[in-house]
Order: sequence, then structure tokens, then C-alpha cells
Amino acid sequence: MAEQTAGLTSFIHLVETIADNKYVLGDRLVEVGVSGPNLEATLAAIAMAQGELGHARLLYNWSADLKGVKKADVKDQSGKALPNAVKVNNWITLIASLYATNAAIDLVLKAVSESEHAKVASRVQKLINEQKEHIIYARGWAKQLLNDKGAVPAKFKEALNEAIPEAGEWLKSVEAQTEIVEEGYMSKTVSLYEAFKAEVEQLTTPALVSTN
Amino acid sequence: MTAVSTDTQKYWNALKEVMDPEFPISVVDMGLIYDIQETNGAVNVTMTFTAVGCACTEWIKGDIENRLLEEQEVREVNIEVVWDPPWTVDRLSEEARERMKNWGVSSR
Repeated sequence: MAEQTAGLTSFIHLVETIADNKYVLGDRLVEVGVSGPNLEATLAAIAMAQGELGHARLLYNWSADLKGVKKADVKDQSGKALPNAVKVNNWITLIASLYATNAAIDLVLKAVSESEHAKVASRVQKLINEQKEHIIYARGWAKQLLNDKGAVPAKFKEALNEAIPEAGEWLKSVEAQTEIVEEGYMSKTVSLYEAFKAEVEQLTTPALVSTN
Repeated sequence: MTAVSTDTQKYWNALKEVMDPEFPISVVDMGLIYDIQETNGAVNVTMTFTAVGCACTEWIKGDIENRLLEEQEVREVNIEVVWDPPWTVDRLSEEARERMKNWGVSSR
């Protein structure tokens, strides 16, 4: 195990935060996704749940390796997941949270994949490849819900207006932990928050969805 | 002094008998095995899985360990799972592709 420097301590916290979010998304994709609007959506949600839970397993195991402790069974998240993801209780909030949370995580993991530590970078590449499909799915559903009829678009914008700022604040907090970049666990090629804003703006207009 | 065996072909052959639980294709033909080294009866396997969320990881690892321990000189099996290079269908052997084709499963 490497010496527990400030950067490593913060990096372990970051890995566990992503693991917790993936654990929660996996759980919500099963609990809520099973009542998706159509069979295809439901089947995809359950398939993605397996993916998210697998990503959580990889990240929890990695955290144990970094801490030099024995891998233990994980029966619940450790409390670091975004509150918005935890309270997902219907299809609309599920899609909003799946999109915002994974889009934010994707930016962090891509920065990790450019780490100066080869072993760190190699851990996340497969995960990034798989996660891409989840983001495409969530983005596709988000566009569909934004262009739906009746009360759906307004309700979905409301859900996005909760999920996006929370994910944005998390990215700002990651950027504030400069020791992670200084010790080479993550590259500093682009502002995570600015990249997230750009991603969100592609989905909808800034006037409708707050990114602050 | 430790003796590192360069002849690990017998272990590759042994793992041709370990099938992926989802398709009856060996873990070798699936392209899951990246490297095998043997040192004084300890076999070190470097491998990957098709997906991070694979539900059969422990099952497959157990099957690999059990099969290698059937070899008389093997005392210990260590399995290291890596994700780089990531598995893609390009790692399927020709034999695996042919079998998938027979079942009507795309290997592209």
C-alpha cells in the first residue's frame, strides 16, 4: 500500500463517492426502472443496473486495495452518494439523476484515466467505455421527456433543476481538492465544472435548466 | 532461487476446459486470459472479464482455480484481474467466432 498522503486520502474519498453513486444508481435502476414506460426501457434499465453495480464493486474493491484493507461485502452505500440520486422514486427523477450523475462522473473518470500513475489510469478505461452507453441512454430519454406532452416536460425540467446543480457542486468540490491533481491521480487539462456545463447546455437551453 | 517456468502451454490447455457460464466457450477462446506464469508450483493468471459488471466473476475465477489445482505440481493459484487492455470482441478466437456463428450470435 502506498503512503497515505493527502492526495491519496482525497483520491480514496473520490473513488468511494463514485462507488456510492453507482451503487445507488444500480439500486434505483432496479427499483424504479422495473416500472419503466415500456418494455424496452425496463429491460435496458435492468441491464444497466447490473453494469452500475459492477462498476460500484470494482470501485469499492479498488478503494480497499488503496487503503490496504481486506475487501468486505458491501451492503449499503457509505453515505457519499448525491442526495438527489438517493431520493429517485419515479422514471422522471431516475432519468434526470442517471444523466446528471453519470455525466459528472464521466468527466472525473476521464481525468483519472489521464493520471500520471499507470495503474490508476488502467483501472478505469473499461468502466468509461461501458458507462458511455448509460449516458447515451439517459441523454436520449432526457431529450424525449423534454419534448413529451402534457406535464411531463415541466416535471422533467424540475427534476433536472435539482439533479444538475447538485452534480455541478460536487464537481466544484472535486476541483477544490487540488492535492488529487498535484499528486498525479487526476489530470488537470480542463475544468470539470465548465465541461459539465457545456454537456448540459447541449441537452437543453440554459434559460430552462439552471447550472448554478 | 526461484524457477520461473516458461512452458505454461499445459495450463493454457487446461483452461480450454473451463467454460464461460453464459456461453459454452472456454475462457481461453473468449480471450479472457492475458497471461499465465508458473513459479515453483504457484500459477499466476492475469485475466479480464467481458464486462465490469459481469455477474459470474467469482464463479469463473473459482473454476479456473479448481482446474489448475488439478495439475499435480500446482500448489497455489493466484488470479489478478486487470481491465487494461479492455476486453472487446476482437479477443475472441476463431473457434469462438465459429461457434457463436453456429448459434446465430454476432461476434462483431
